[in-house]
Amino acid sequence: MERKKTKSRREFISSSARFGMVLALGGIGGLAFRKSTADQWVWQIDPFKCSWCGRCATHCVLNPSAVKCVHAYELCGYCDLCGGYLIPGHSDRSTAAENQLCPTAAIERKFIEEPYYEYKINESLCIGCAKCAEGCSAFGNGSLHLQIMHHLCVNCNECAIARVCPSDAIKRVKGSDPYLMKGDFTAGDGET
Amino acid sequence: MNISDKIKIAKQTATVAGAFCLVISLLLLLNYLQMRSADPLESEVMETLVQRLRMEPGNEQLKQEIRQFDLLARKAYFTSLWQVRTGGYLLLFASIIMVVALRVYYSLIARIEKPEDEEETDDIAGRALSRRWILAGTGILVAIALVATFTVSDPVERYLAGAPISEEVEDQVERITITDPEPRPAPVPFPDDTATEDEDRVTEPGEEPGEATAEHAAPEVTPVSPAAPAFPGETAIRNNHNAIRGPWSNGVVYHDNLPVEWDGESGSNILWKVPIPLHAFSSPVIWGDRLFITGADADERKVFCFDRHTGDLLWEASADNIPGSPATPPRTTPDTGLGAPSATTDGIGVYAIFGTGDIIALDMEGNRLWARNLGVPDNHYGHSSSLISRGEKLFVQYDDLDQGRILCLNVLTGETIWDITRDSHVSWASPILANVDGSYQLVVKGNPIVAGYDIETGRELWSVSAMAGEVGPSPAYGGGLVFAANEYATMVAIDPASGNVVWEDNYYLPEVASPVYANGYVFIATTYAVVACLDAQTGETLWEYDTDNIFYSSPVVAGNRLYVTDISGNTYIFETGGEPNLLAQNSLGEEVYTTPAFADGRIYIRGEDHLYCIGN
Repeated sequence: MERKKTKSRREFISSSARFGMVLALGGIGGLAFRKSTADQWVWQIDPFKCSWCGRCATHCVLNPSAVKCVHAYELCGYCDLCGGYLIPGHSDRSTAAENQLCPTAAIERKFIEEPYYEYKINESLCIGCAKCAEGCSAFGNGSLHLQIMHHLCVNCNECAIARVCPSDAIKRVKGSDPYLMKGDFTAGDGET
Repeated sequence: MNISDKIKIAKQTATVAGAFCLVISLLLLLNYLQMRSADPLESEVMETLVQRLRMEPGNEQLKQEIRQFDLLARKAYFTSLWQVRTGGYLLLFASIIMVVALRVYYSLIARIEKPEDEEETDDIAGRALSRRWILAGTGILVAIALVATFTVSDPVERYLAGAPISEEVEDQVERITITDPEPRPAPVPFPDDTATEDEDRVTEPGEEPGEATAEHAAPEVTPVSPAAPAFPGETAIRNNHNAIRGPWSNGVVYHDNLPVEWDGESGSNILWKVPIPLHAFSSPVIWGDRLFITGADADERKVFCFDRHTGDLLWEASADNIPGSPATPPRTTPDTGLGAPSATTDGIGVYAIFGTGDIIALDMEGNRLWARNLGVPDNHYGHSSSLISRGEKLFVQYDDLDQGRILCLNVLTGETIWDITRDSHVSWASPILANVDGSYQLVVKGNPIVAGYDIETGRELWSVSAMAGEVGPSPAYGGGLVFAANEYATMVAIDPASGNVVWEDNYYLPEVASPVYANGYVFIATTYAVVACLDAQTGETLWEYDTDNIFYSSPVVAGNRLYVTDISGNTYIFETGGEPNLLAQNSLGEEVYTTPAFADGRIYIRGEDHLYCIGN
């Protein structure tokens, strides 16, 4: 039998169209796959730039804010005199309301051994006002600092806090590594 | 149950659900307004109680009050959050019920058979009626939109209000037409207006006046035009206290016979004490026999003039009816307010700026010369940079949230001479004037740059990126170096001729009070209650002194003495040397957040509620 070596014009156009469609489908699938596996970008606070202005508490679209205080325990001095816990000019180093800096009593103080205390943030009470972070930086080493919590954040296209942040401390970071915790990184490491 | 009953039930359900939605919406709105007007976590009452406890640390009853109030405040806050969350769910639930009930209602109505005797509706007429209603509704919507366009303020415009102002600002200058047939009285002649250059040279503290060299001499009188008044020369400025922290805002005053001891409680060496008519955190300035302060609240902004010998209030002037001034003042924090910037004076006029962006010029009798609004500053605490002038030029540091900016205005007309933006963010520091190699630079601190500017053109002469965080203290100049320091950043000594950093140190840093130079030393006062002395050439810490309270008031050097006042009103007087020699510690008995003004033999301190004149 003689083998047919040439294609008719109709066959050529038909097979070209099929090939083109396969290519287009493959391309779309590839793009979708890439998008589904690519890193998402999320908002986060650079704690080394934060100036504790208090706007994280008032300008987040959520109420209370998605910004919470976190504690870098590896940096903390576990001091009895904690500038993030005690109000300046406190009358006593105790848990009494008149001595606490946090307006919602979100920092829990736990005695470890003389003279060490552990300070733990109760996230459900924290409103992200930054008073403790400012106090800790003024009289301590800044181990208390703010972070946007991503199980709360709705990841607005333009973060409402970033728009008003006076120190440009809020920036986009990769979703695979969404936190800029002190201790995990130093100033400049989080540059993107 | 027949169809009429079902219709009735559906209708009643929809009505009840609708009313419920309305009530919940109103309650949520009220909750929002209440929280917005009085945040329980930022209560002034709590602040006042804590302040009282600082004064009475052993007052157990007060502690109980604070605890009860704290509990109430937190309860109010979290209850409000619960109300919003629960109200939201209820609103959603009720809305769904209402929609379902309405759907059922209209479905049932559609099923009702028409009475046989009812006439058929004319479809064409019905459509025509619908068209008329649609046209009418559209017309109403267009009319509302047009009205709203002209009556509702644009939030984007308000958001951008803090952005650099374009040439349109010039149109907002309120120009006063002088119709007085008599010529304006000539300014008081300054005794140094004919002085020689050597006499006008600025003498460093601790240096004999005769040591002046010709290369440091500065021009005496700066006539700007044949019609312009004669502006004060160097000696006249040195003899007055024309800006916050004294002449050139540099923290050094040139007066003798100043008191060393006083006591506010007993009245010892208190020559007079008068109540302040309107609170603010601005500092007093002095020209001749007159002392000026400003005051501000949400309702009014004012300048007050006192006779500095008697304490009599000579006049007061309001900064009102200024084109472009915001109807609602910008939100500020209580520790800054709308009257934090200090005024300045040149003996011809008094110039004051407020947190609304209003700037006003008054003559020495309180008559308005000009006024304009520079655009509402976008500043989360409140604008606080003080004014300073030289000759015809009035310098305004106007750093905004997004953009650093400096304006130079004509003191006689308010018109802009130059207006520059700079690579910095919002700050609360004030500019100073530094005489570098015979010509003046405007030295300005911000975040992150410290920079020198040509006062004629605004051209940046040098810039050092060294600051960070919220920049409050102003720079200082002396011994040929500019000193800039800020808490959470560093302290640098910069050569303003080259812009090179000579040394850097970060052991003691001020947060609010500005550093000052004297006799080869730099002094700083911190918010952790320490006064420190550094070697001005090397940055080495020579001594530190722990005091009773923190410092907002900037230290001032007079001769060989350093005067510095903490927030509880204790003034510490040190000898300006390399050893900590405390000469006296005097209590005023009133909180002080401002920097004192000095005149020959007198010190003027603005406390929280009173203005004091102290003298021997």
